[in-house]
Amino acid sequence: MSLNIKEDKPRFMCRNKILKTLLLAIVINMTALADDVLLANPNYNITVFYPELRKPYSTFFEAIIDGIKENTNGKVILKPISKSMQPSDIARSLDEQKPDAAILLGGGIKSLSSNLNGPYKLVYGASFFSNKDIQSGLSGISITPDPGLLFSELKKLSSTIKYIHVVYHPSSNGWLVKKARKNATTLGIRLVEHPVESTQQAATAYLKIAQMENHAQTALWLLQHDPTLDEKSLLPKILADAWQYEQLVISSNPSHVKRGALLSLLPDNNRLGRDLAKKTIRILNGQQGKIEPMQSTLMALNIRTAKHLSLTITPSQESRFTLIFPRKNNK
Amino acid sequence: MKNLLIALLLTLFCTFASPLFAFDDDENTLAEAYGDEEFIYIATGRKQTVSQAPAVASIISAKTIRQMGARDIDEVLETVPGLHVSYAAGGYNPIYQIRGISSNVNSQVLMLINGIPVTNIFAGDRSQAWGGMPIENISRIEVIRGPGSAIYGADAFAGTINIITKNSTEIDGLEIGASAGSFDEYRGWLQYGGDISGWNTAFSAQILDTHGQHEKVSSDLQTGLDSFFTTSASKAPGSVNLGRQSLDTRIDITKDKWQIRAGYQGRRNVEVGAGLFQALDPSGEADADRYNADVSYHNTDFVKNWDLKAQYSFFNTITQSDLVLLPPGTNTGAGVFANGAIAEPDVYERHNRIDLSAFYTGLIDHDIRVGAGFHHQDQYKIEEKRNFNTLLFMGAPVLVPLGSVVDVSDTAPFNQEETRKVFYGFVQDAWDFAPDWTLTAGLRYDHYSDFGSTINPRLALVWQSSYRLTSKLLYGRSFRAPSFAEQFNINNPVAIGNPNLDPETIDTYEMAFDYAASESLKIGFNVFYYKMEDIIRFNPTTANNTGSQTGHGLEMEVSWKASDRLAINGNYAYQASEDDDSNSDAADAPQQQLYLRANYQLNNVWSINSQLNHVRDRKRAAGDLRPEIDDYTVVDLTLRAKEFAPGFEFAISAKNLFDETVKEPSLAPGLIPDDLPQAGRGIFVELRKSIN
Repeated sequence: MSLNIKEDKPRFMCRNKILKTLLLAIVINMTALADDVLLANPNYNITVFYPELRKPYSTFFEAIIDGIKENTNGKVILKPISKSMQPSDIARSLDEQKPDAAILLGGGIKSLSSNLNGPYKLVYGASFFSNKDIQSGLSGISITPDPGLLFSELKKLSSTIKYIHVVYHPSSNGWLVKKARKNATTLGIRLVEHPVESTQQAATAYLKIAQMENHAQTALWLLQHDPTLDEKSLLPKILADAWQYEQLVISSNPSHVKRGALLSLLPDNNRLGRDLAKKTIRILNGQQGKIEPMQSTLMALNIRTAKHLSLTITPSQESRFTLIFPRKNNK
Repeated sequence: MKNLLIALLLTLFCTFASPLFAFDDDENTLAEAYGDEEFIYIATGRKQTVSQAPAVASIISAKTIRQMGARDIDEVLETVPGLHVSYAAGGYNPIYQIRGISSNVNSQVLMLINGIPVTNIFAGDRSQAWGGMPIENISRIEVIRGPGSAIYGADAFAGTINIITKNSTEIDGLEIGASAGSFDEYRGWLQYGGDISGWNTAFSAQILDTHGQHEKVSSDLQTGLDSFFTTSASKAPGSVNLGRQSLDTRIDITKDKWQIRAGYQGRRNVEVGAGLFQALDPSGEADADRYNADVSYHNTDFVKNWDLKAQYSFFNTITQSDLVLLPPGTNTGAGVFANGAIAEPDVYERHNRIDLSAFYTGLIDHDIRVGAGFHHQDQYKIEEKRNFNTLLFMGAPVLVPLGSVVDVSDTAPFNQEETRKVFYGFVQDAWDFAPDWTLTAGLRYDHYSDFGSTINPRLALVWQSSYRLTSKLLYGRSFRAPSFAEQFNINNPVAIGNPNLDPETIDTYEMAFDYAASESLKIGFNVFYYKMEDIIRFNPTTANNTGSQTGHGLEMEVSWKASDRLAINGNYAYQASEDDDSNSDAADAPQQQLYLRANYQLNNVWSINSQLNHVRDRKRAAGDLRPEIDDYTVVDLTLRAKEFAPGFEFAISAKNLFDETVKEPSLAPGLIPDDLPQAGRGIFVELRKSIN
């Protein structure tokens, strides 16, 4: 009997494993199949609204639009938004076009489109989103990179990190921090949250973090579009303190890398466009929409800071970064 | 001084003018997501390449060039700290004086276009009929002050000017433009950037037709001859002659690891400025044809840890001159020239180069660069017609009439058909030997088929002193190879070539600091000391390594983004250089320079750029008894409207707004006694359109 039991258990486990693998394979195939069907669907007409900007800002949207076109087989109509445009102009345009969905790019268009109420689906991109936007049920992709990606790159550069501090304004970035908490846990990191309501409170919190001991295990994560992080007065102080106390700083804002933060992510605009197209078609096919952080990113590194922190960046690691600061002639 | 005050008031006006607009929400979103506009340029693929070694360098971007309303690279280079653009009497060819190092042919500065030298081996300059270089196709200009021979080889001596042209990502579709203005100057350009059959293609064509400024020279060499021989041949008082036509075309195609570039610079009817002999010559002209082509292969992963670049380049340069060295009716003491002293020298040369360089990144904390190459310089044709011979009489040259213009190419030309082969190899290591510390050590060996070998080292110790401060300690040795004029001049008794010349050398020590006071305020500061030896001079009549010169000085740069709309840049340079033979100032170059520029964005369309350039303390050479060259302050103003209609841009510029008298030194002892006059006020308008 005992022998049978012993024989049965592995057999069961084995069967279970096969079943799991099979199920997984089916799910993966179905998703792939579903995506193929979605993307091949020629019947969806999509209108893309985008801001009419001067260079170099316009190149950002051009790349996103190229990405959208690459991932849609239906008709894509482009509608530039000029400064003089009123909300009624967008509504009229949509009534005339009668698209299945509209992709609305840019921060400015969010306010113009708040009262749109038609049979079409709306998907937002290349914009920041607050807790309020998330709660109001908008769909789209935030310009903020997924904190999970940022943390995972951090781990690759410094495997000893156990704690990540973040100072944030809850009603602006609470949703993102909530998501980051889960991401951090998955990577074996604890997110230490410092909710603040003002720049003054933030300054105190940043100073405390800088002066903590054991920076070998902690990193500081700076946010984009947080009203408490003053870029002109507070940020230089944070980065100067970080240099002094050898504190590792990562940021959701790639321009912070130029100023001295170690690591950040920036949008891969073409892939971002493709992601937006994919998301739109999925929503049209009945999936529920929501706001998600950006997944398609490139990486930026400050090599001066890396060397100051005695981090070893191998050539193969270095080659993964799209942008490296400072420029080597300033080395 | 009054002009200085007005310019400062103008700048202050810009500062306090009321804000007329705020950036759009979307630009705000992107600016916040990315940082500033410059970052967006970088992040959207317009990357800058890196310089090869730590150095005191300035980079001027296409954006800055356009803001300042520049029409030629000389206007851009004048804004670099420690660099002053002076002009030679002959053709008003530019003399890029860097840190007090100046010579009439300016062979101590290396000019590169896309990293390839444009040096003409005959005189060591960039052609006797240079004719300027337009700026529309320039992506950026990198200027290294100080030594560069450890990487670039010969002539990276006082400094190196590297002009990088635009690639396909920097020209958005089709761009056309035209400008017109004072001195009957007309320019036109057409540029294309895009994808053709899978090749990233950039094409550019720029044309120019100008009469040039015509400021007056009161007397010249001929005036002196006239008073001695009681003739009246001189064209002085008369205006300098600076008319010319030019065509600059370039094509740049890239695909995967390959890049192919070709270009042509044509110059026609280039007038001769104040005359090659410092006698006004209204009828003299020169033509130049310069062809270049290069093929590059660049594999960042050639084998594991090796980044390899291989390049073949070709450069052909032809200068043909028809000169009237002394005007009709001149009496040289050996006879009267009814048609003037006529010379028609032509120089043909071609350069072939093979360059290999590789980065090795397999060692942690080391960036190792090695390279080797071969350069063949061929002065393949020398032609000359003239109506005189030159004799030496009591130490002075005397032109003796031949009766008519005679082809002396095969009998008594001014120089010889010669070739030179150069082999070189270099190694450089940037070693991060401690956190915040990098030591770069480099060594280049050059073997010349004529004068032999030279070894030039480079050392740079860089310390990231704090979050805001980077400190550098630099040493470098450079050399200038003798030109063929210095080696092989013949049949000219006052300038006889010497095939046994050694190169000129310079040792430079620098200490430099980069300080970021804040994100919007950056300061650069450096002090330097140099010693030049074996300076080549025709002394008294044959070229010899005779002179030495020492110099020291400082340069300071400030870049301040005062607000979203106002950017202010400025620099100050001081130098004192001494000719060791005469123990007097090395002369001609300014001891002090001050430059200020304010760019103010009035609203989404309009912007205004004002700049001020103050040049002072230019001493005379030993034995030149004239008083110091007058200081000057020039103010320029540019008003620009972008996108006032879709794809259109308009600008109006006033150069030398207050019509300041600007002179550049004539050669000692002063055959043109009141120096070389530069342009007064000029107004220029431009209109451009981009078609995506």
